[in-house]
Amino acid sequence: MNIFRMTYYLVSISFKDFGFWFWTLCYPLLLTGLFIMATSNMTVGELENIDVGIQEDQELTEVIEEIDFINMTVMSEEEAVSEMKQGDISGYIHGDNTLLVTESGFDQTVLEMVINQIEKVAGSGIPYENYDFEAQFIEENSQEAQPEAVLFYSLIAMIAFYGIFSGIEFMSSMQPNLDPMGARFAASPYSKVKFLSASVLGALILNLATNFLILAVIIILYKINLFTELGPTLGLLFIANLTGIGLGLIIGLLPKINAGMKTTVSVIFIIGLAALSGLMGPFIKIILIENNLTWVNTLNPLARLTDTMYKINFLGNYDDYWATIGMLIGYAAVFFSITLLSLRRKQYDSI
Amino acid sequence: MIMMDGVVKRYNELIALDHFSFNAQDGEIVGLLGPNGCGKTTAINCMLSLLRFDSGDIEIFGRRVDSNNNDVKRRIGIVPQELAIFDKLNVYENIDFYCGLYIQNSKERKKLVEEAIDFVGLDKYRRFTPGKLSGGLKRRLNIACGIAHKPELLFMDEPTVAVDAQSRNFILEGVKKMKADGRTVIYTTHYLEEAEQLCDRMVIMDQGRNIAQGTVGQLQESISTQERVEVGFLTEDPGMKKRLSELPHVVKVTNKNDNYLIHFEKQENNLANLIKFIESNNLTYTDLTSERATLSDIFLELTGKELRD
Repeated sequence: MNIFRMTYYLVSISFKDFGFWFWTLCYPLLLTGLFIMATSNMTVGELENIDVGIQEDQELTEVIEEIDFINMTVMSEEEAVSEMKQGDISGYIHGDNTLLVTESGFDQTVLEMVINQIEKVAGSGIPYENYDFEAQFIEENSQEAQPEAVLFYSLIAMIAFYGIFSGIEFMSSMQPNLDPMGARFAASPYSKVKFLSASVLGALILNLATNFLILAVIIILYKINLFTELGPTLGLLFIANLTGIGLGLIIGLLPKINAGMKTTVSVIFIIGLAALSGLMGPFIKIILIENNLTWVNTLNPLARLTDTMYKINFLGNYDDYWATIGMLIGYAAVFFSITLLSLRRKQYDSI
Repeated sequence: MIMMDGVVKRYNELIALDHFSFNAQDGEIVGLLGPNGCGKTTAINCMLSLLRFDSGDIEIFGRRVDSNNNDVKRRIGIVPQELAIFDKLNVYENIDFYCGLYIQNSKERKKLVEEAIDFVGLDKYRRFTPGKLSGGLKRRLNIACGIAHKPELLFMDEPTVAVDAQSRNFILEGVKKMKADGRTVIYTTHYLEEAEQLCDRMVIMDQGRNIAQGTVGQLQESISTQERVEVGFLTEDPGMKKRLSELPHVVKVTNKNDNYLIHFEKQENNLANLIKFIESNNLTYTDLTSERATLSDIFLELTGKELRD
């Protein structure tokens, strides 16, 4: 049987499994619906072109000028008030780093945060020019300003990892020490490399299909434009799918635990990682993790994926795009290598 | 075809195979008999090179077992004790999947799958998923998945457990047909009547050891009880059991319902002696049957316990 026939059967097995559809499609759609209800009137778009007025010779002029998403114009207070009334600028910075606004909104929140952040940096003694606003300020604080976006990006990061379920299912059923079907498989001359390739291909087809369905619902049905950079985002999701599948294959290899239990534990594990990456709002990720356990965010592939999707789509910032892709590929490579080495172990101490 | 010599397999303190030896020749049906937990499945898994064993040698087709030897694997089929079929695939797909692990060519595979479906009588059910099949039909599907690639050597591990009488007969007839086709079958069971009906030779296992092997006749010769006579009398006599046990060549007398079961050593005139005893004591008998020692007797005598203990 060639790889494609094997893939067809593996896909068929999952395709007819209610559990697969529930976890990879129904549950994320349910969450999407809940998020939509909780964040009505959300309009997510790229953070750019916030127009602001600034007093002549104001001390923040040089710093503000360096921030890509702020368009700064030097003007007097009277001019600023007039432009704010006409909606041409969102705020006016003057005096002792004070922000003058005539209405509240997202732009005003971001400007307020920018000024606070600059003052915090100045207070800590770090020269302004050494501070990377794109990497630090925007990643953390603008996620606070737009928690709805973080919810959706972390949800998408989570479903990209749902290839884990197919990985577990395929690998568990082919282990002689876990399933009688595995005895048949292991006693046969079928190539383990072919089986592994078919498993990855099958899981990829299934999970990408469900990912696309969910993205279509978000974009077309709910009309939320989360993806100003669709191509690079899909690239990220493709690699994340591979990582999730690899993780599933490894978990599927674990002895003495059945596939159902492994799936349950994996659901909890992935939800845990997603919560740490912002699924419950950015508070956990930014306040608790970023400030206290930075390494958790660094190692958590879902947090990296969420951040990178947010940055490229919301901020147009590609600084850590390739680093995230590299990290996900690295994880996947480790997972696949371990799986292949374990599959090549053809005899067992107990069955 | 198979040579297993002094194989030892331990699970920590438990010895699952204790210097277990046996062999099987081309075209034979060899039964591995023994109670649950005696090591039958462990022996099969060692032969299939799924399990690592501690010492001893196993050769199949004249070659030492090696999990990397795909040429040997290609010639072997396996019907595991538990159902090893996909719930989500239908009958045809299940057989095609497992056949596909051995056969690359799709045309050849299609032909073999059709033959396997015919062989197990599942043609009417080819589009049914296992959930819609009865226990017996699932067992037949389990067998079809193991034989579709026409292996020369087939391991069948308790294939008739929890199967209705009709399906059991179907399966047993199928095994006979496979033997007629020249295949070698290693058949484990704890149903002695099946083994008697099916196997050319039997290996009796207990606690991981081969305690006896041979044809039914050879096994019968190897034990002291050669004949059993069941007799029932019209009138009850409390001393009858003792009097019967004093007859010549009687090994022991046991009660079976209201009758007596007399175990005789191998002698020509055991039944005649009993009839003479009945006549001389003016007894009226209600039942009188004689049979040679069964596998159950053999097992009981060799191990000191019933097979299904």
